[in-house]
Amino acid sequence: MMRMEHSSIEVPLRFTIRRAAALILGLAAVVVIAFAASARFGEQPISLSIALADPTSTDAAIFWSLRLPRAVLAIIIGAALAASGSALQGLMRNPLADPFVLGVSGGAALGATLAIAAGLGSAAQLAPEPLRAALARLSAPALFAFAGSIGATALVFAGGRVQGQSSPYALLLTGVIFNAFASAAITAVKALVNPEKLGEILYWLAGTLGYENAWTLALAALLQALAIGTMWMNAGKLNLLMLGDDDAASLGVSVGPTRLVLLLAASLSVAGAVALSGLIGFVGLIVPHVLRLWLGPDQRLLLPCSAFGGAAFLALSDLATRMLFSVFHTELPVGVVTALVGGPFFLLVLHRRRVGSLSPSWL
Amino acid sequence: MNVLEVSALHAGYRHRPVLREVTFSVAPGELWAILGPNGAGKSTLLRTCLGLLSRQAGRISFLGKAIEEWSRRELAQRMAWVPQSFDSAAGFTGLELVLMGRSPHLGLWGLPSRADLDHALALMQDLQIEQLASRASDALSGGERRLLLLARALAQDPRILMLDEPTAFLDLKHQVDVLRRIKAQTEGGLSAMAVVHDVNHAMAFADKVLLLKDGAMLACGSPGSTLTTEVLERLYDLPIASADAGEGQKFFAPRFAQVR
Amino acid sequence: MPRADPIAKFRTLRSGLRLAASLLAMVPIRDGASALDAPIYLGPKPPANVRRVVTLAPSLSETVIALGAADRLVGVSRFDEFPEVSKLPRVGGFLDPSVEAVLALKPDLVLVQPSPGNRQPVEKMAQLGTPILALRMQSVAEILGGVREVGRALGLSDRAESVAQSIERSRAAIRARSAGDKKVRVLFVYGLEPLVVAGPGSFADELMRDAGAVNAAQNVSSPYQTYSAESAIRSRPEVVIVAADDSSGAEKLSRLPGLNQARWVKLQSKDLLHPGPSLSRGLEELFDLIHSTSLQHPPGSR
Repeated sequence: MMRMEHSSIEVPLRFTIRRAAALILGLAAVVVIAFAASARFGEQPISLSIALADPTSTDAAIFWSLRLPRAVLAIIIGAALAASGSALQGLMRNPLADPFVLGVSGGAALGATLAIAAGLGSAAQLAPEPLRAALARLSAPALFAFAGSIGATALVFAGGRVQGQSSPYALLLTGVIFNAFASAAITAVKALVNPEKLGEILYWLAGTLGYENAWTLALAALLQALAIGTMWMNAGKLNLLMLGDDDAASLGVSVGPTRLVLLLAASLSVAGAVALSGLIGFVGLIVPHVLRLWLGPDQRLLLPCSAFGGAAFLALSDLATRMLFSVFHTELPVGVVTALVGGPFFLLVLHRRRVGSLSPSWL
Repeated sequence: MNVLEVSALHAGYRHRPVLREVTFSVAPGELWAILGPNGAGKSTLLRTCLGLLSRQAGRISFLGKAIEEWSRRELAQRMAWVPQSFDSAAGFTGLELVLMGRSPHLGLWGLPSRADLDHALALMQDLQIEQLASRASDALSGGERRLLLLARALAQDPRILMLDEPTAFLDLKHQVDVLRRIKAQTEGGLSAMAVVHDVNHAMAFADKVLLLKDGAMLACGSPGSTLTTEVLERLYDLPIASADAGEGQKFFAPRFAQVR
Repeated sequence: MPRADPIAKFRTLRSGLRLAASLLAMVPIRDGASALDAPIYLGPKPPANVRRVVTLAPSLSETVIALGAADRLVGVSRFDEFPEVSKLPRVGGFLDPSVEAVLALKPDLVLVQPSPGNRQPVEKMAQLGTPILALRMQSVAEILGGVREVGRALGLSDRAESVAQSIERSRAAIRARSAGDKKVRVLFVYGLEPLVVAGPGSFADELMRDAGAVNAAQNVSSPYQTYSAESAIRSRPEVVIVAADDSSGAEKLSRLPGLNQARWVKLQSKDLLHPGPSLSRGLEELFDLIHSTSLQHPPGSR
């Protein structure tokens, strides 16, 4: 942190390019470590030297085709959920906001539930072309989840407009109501389907990371780079929006368009994540919160750090589910691990912060 | 040239028009006091001039250009707002909040230069709030918040300040202090419009007063000639007494005996 | 194929959704059911001499065991309870197999029950060079076909044929024993709270017909149908077979008029619940339950 002397008072500046670069590089290193661990370890012990030397070996197949794509997916999803969670907490001026607050969870879950209930998607032959394979993979619950979350967000935007302006309060309320509606509709579908499909629906709703092909991963990475990049680019304006609409406007922010761009980027990011992973909770709520307690509220710093922190957190949580396979003979949904680990960790951080804040130190 | 010219302004909310036929103009270096009972449209007038509310009719011209022709950013470089308070500063420190006043002059990310930083710190020192620089703004008192918001507005380097009740939440000493600082700024050429509730403040500090009642102008002019017991009684629907304190100072107060 | 249709109400919705999916994905969506009914192979062709087999469902392990090839099993699902496989590594469940665990066992053949739920991991295994045989084991015909197909894949066709024929023989024997008797109206209860009964298209429904019974729950659309108490009374069963693990809710139901006249019996084994080559045993038990003349009290009462 940069401290400069200015006529007898010491000035702490929490956002400087140097500090931001150092923090981001540090967190990027954590992501690399988490990624390496996630690719190196798993349900079965593998030998890296065999995997690298003999591409036809089982070790190579496990390493290149299972672990690497899954570690990449964990990083993409974790970054998307935490970055959009950070942006939405700022936009809604509500610390309880999470990536699913704008009806995205309800829309995605309803879409996926309908796709599963209607029996879409089968264990039929693989489509030969890589392009078709990727689309065929997205054709079942994933595609419907994406469409559902985009549709829900559009609906919430339309419903959350008050006198032609989208107020955070109205958006929040509309999102909550839509999620409640979707949850009721899902309960209705669950009551009507057979047990096999019910199991599938419950598994999807719990949130899991599967194996995606390179094409899908590249598409997801591109989408998230665009969405997170857009949010980060507007992070300075987001800081001003956090003070209130009128404050932001009087400081030169075009409130309506800026908020729309940020909301769209966040929604797109979440929709892209949810389509591939289902509803993985807690990452988007906990990671920005913990980092805010450490780094302060500045979104120029918080947003990219949340992306890296979320990526590392989800990669390590997924590693934990796979390491626990030998205990449970199944992978726990990764959303279960993020909640079980993240909840107590957050409470611990919050408690220590509260105790620590009794001593004179700025937030 | 006048800084701000408002003519035949009608403004308010869609189903609730507030202001009717408001006309005045603010010259450089003038401090205006806007007086009137609650709900008369004082804040609405400020917010409309700031472009935060849209007009229903009439014309607002700022630095010779119609208000709607200014982009938000250009306007923020020249016109600053001091709201009554903030609900939440989201955990920003005093210095971070004041530096946000520089953002209309900075790039997309609002990265301050050394000069911006020095400017912000000098303003804080000037207002004697440099000790708030590293404190979380959410933990501040109402008066401290008010001074931070004033520093933020001054950091914008505006041509005109719009102040919504700048003396609210302040003790007697700080009320006078803030008004004196604003007055000092206007003597340097800055114009200011302040919503005030204390007639005596208007009397003591304002160059011009604007009296609003039920959205319409009751009177407008220099405080000495405009502020009389008759006008104030009409403005507040209250019997008003005045007294001479010597040194050319005149006081107004409700006639408490009659009110009781 | 009533089984493939989830719910009648969803049929219109389903075709609409399917059309939408085809348009969006720009690929023709195959009819899931027709692709699933017949055994299908995915991935590379299995070797002529299959030595290492992984199964992802107990009924498939049971099939391999019935063919006398238990020693070829190298990995099973986490639901397998047969003593023959108790020491084998677990590779996950029917819907959640671990691709990594399966691959690490280097199997010559993986036997799976196809389902939309396990489609992604199963396709991944095939893609990574593991031979897959997907078999549906829900109806008697599918079980017979599955036994023969697994026999072919393991080079044990003769053995498979004799297993299949013994199943056919015991069905014929049971049918002969009940021929000419008056058909007994039976309500087959999978669960009590909520009440779930076997509908047409379920494995239990098929075996009930062999055993000289008529399913009292005829007017339902799903093989595993949630049922109301009113419908249960209206179905006028003579025998109620309770297959639920926890039969504590039976007492309340069995006191209802119309149901208190029925004979309530509790299913002892699980052969009727898990379709597989042991269906002959399940059929025997079912026949005895339906045609037993000894008076039985409702489970849970007194």
